[in-house]
This record gives sequence, structure tokens and C-alpha cells, in this order.
Amino acid sequence: MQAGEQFPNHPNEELIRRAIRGALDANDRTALERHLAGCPTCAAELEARRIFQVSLARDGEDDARDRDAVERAMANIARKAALDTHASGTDEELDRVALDRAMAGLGERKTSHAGARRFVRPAIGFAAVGAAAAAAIALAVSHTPRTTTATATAGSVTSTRPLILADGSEIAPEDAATPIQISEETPVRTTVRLSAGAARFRVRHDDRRLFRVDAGSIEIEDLGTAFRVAHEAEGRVRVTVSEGRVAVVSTLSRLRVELGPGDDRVFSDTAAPGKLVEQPSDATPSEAPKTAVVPVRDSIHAQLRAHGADDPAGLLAAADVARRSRLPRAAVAPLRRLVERYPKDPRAPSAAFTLGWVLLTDLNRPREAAIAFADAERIAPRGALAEDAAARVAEAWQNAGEPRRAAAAARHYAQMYPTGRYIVLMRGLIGEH
Amino acid sequence: MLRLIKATVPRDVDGAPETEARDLAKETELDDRARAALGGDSTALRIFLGGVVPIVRRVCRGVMGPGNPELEDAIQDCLIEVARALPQFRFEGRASHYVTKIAMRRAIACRQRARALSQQRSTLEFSALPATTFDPALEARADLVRNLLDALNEEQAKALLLYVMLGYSTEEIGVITGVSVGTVKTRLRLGKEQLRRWLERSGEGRRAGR
Repeated sequence: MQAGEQFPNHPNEELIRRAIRGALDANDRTALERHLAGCPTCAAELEARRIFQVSLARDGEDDARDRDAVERAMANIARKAALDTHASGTDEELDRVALDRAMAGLGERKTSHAGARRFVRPAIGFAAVGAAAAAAIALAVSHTPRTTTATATAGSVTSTRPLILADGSEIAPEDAATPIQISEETPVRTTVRLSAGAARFRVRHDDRRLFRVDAGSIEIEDLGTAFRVAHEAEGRVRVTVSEGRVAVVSTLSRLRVELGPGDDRVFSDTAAPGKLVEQPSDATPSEAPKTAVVPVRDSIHAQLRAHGADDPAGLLAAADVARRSRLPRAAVAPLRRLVERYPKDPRAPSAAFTLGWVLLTDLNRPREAAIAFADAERIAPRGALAEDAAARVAEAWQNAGEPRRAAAAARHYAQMYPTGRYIVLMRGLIGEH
Repeated sequence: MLRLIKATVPRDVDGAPETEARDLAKETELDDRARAALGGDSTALRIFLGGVVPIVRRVCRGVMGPGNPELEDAIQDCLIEVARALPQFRFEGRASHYVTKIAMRRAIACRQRARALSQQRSTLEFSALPATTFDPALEARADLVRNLLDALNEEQAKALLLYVMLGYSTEEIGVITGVSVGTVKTRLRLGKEQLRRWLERSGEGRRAGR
């Protein structure tokens, strides 16, 4: 028999809330207990609510974490504002020199492409760092998010300012005359209408959601990517892909063409409607693909310029931007710098752990990851991350193909945390050797 | 073996965090802070985010788990999104609901991404990394429910998440998810049935009459 049939009157929400708070009187308590004894659905609900009430209760460190999160968010907002304003005028060569200089100063081990990044004009590079730092700081102070970005999270919005959708996808019109309309934004579909002008898109891909740009005669569907769409003369539409893939679909025939990184094609529906005819490119220099590529590295440039990159907050911020920009390699140097130079800073254990995590999961450098995790445990042996760091050392050595070291690390874990969360896994590693 | 609690009503639990989101005075204050932040003053924005961050943390922690290594990043990203989305907020509902909606969407995406990544790259089946100390047995049970959310369809999962995990009422869930109370109740009924079956299959639940 179903619970609902046996007990048609399930306790209402208020009764459940009072039960969770332990605020029931004797009669209500008895009635509820009687109901729960025969209604596994309500019992399951009550149990789940109780679990999460305890699980989600704030702990003593949450206030400090909250303050830190707000400060870091504020810093990122200000820097993004500065970046949005400043990025368009960036001299790519000088930026590259500035970045290389800054990264070299941070101790990044450049091995693979050092030859390709020789300091062409170091004197100018240094000047650029100073000037850019001053500009970035000034912009960060003088710009709030509202002046440079707009955000759409629901309904239809038309804006000529950069838009950031609720899922984090970014749409940047290339000039003030480009209208962007968010004509649909649901969990399954986001549709952006671009009726004129040009815009760059950086889409947070979600397999369950279709992200589509309606550009008149064609539609562009995101397959996980960054791309640019530009209306040109005579009804042509240029699509330039900088990352990932897009599908270009004719609105008439539904013919479909997929484009990948580096593809720069012009489509026209005028000459042969529905045929998705590719037109020869006659881009002017200002329309060249180079300018269409979202300058991911600029965000790191801005971080480094704005901070002087050598205090714990600045190093953490630089690492954050690098990781969010999906450039984990660029996060290594500031994190390592923080750990080495400021081991007594309260953020050092977290930085060491993050460094280990980036090296292990993003960069597949397990040996270095093992050392970083060991640092995290060494710096704060009684810290909140110590146990996990100890376990991760073993995992990293295992991933590195060093079973003896993995076993040694596992033994260390077992000694330190004989009833720890990973003890079964650790025993497994020990048992193998 | 983890077991469902006996058919007794839970006693007092310190903190009663589920009351936070519904505290009317706090919500009114948060609305006021949101209005002030719209003026463009960074101090006002900082104060607003300071009021928002406990909600964001709770949502992210609930969805992702306290041990998720991406937790702090997700919280920070949520705050940035909230700040940028604020100009679009028309105060037709509570600011806390608006924030919850944004945070929930981001947290779910982060959880899915982290799971996909761990499935691809983890050679050892480590559980998520805790950012703080917590009761591992309790978290194992919490994870059990979180895993159910992955198995439900998105709408049911969101409703169940908001109701069971975050303690919102059906009316509030309707506002946050943009559907009628009737629809919310239907989703919750189906979700709770799934929850019961899920706990039973996991050895956590018990059948009627047992």
C-alpha cells in the first residue's frame, strides 16, 4: 500500500519546519511520529532536511571566508571593468613582452616556448608595464560594473553594452551601434538576436542547453566555444571561431556547416538562398580575425599590471584570473610564488593546495603536484586541508607512476589519520607494496 | 551502515540555518542594500555582496558539497554574476530569491563540471575534497541526496534542492523557478517519491510498515 493512501494527510510545511527546529508540542510530536512510522516518503523528506540543516550550518570560519570572497569578487569586478575598457587599445606585442617580463619575475619556468618569446624590446616592455599598471589601477578605481557591463538573466534585453548572461556567457558588441537582443533564455535554450553590426561571444557550454545566435539569414549554434559574428555588406555574415566549434545553419534550408578554431568564413544567403554559400573574404584590417579573438591573456596582463603581482592578494587574484581564463599554466607561478615567499600567510596552505590541484588535474604534472600537496600539509599540519593534502600526495605519486612513494605517502597518512576519510584507499596503496 | 533515523522527530539543532533565508527583516534589509548598490557606489556594492554571500555560500555548499575544491571559486563567481546581474533586477521579488536563482544555476553547473572532470581524470576514487572540517558520516548521507539530484530531471532536482536542502517554501520556490505553486507541488511530490526510493535502494530508507 502506498504511503499516501494509508496516510492521506501528510504534515504541512510549517509542521515539518517546526519539527526540524524541535519546536513541536507534545500532541503534534505524537501525531507526526505516528505518521512517520507509516509514511516512508515523509520520513525520507524529514531525514534529508535534517541532514542538510546540519550539513549547511555555518562554521566558525565562514565569516572570514565570506569577507575574503567579497573582497576578491570586488577586486575582480573592478579589474574586469578596467579590462573591458582598456583591452581594445592593447598593443599585442608590448603586452606579450609585459606578460613575459612579469611572469619571469614571478619565477615561472619557461621551457617550451622561451625561444619564441624573446624580449624584443625590453626597455619598452618595462615602460609598458609601468604605464599599463597606472592606467589599469586608475580604471579599476574609476569604473564600476554598471558603467561597462550589462547583464541579462531573464526575459528580453536589448543593450549596446557588453552583456554577461546569468550562466556566465559573455557577449561583447564591437561598437555602440550593435544591438544585442536576448530573445530567449531558458534552461534549454538561449537565443541571441544580432540584427546588425558585430559581436564577440564567449559561451559557457552546457550540453543540455542550446546557445544560438540569430543573425538573420543564418543561425550560429554554439558547440562549446568563443566566436565572433559580424554583419557585412550585401547581407553577408562573417563567422570567426577562436575556440571550440560552432555550427552555422541556414534559416531557410537548415543546411548546416561546422566551423572549428581558426575558421573565418563569410556566408551569404542573397546569391543562393538557403545554400549557405561561402563568400570570399574581403576583410579590412580592422575586421581581421586577429581582432576577433577574445584576448584571454589580457585579463592576466591586467592582473599583473594592476597588482605589481607580488603581494599575497595580488598573487591569488592573478592565479584566480588565470584559472578562470582556462590558462592553468599561468596560475602556477603566482601560486608558487605565494607559497615560497609568504609561507606564514594564512592563505599559503590554500594556495599550496590549489597549486597541487592545478598541477594534478589541469596540467598533468603529478610529481610537482605531490610536492605542492606536501607543502600544503607541511605549512599547516593541523589545518583544515592537511588531511586531504596528505591523501593527495599519495594520489599524485600514484599518478606519477611512483608506487613506492605513493605507498610511503599512504603510510604517512595512515599514521596521521588512522580513522581518516581516505584510510581505505590509503590501505589499498600500502597493500600494493 | 548509515541508517535512516528512527521515526522520531528531530530535536533542537543549533543555528536553524533554514530560517535565515526567510527572515523577513534580513530580506528587507537585503532589498535595501540592493537598491543602494544600484547607485554605482562600490562601498554600497560591497555591503550588498556582504549580505548576499551567506546565501550564496549556503546554496553552493548545498549543491556542490562542503568539500568540493571548486567551492570557493564558485562562490566568488556567483558574487560577480550577482553584481553584474543586479541592474536587471526589477524588485518584483526578493533580492534573496534572485540571488538564490543565480547561485543555484552556477552551483549546479560547477558540480556537473567537477563531476565530469573527476570522472575523466581521477585514477583513485577519492571523495570530494573538504574545504573545512565536517562530519564525514553526515556528509556521506548528504552526498547520497546530492547524487539523487543528479539522477532527477533538472526541474525536479531544483525544486527538491530548494525545498529539502535550502528550506524554501513552495510559494518561494514558485517565485524562484518561475512556475506556479501547483507545478512546484507536483515536482516536489515526484521528487520526494524518488528520494524515498533512492534512500531505500541505498539501504538508508525503510518501507512502510517495517
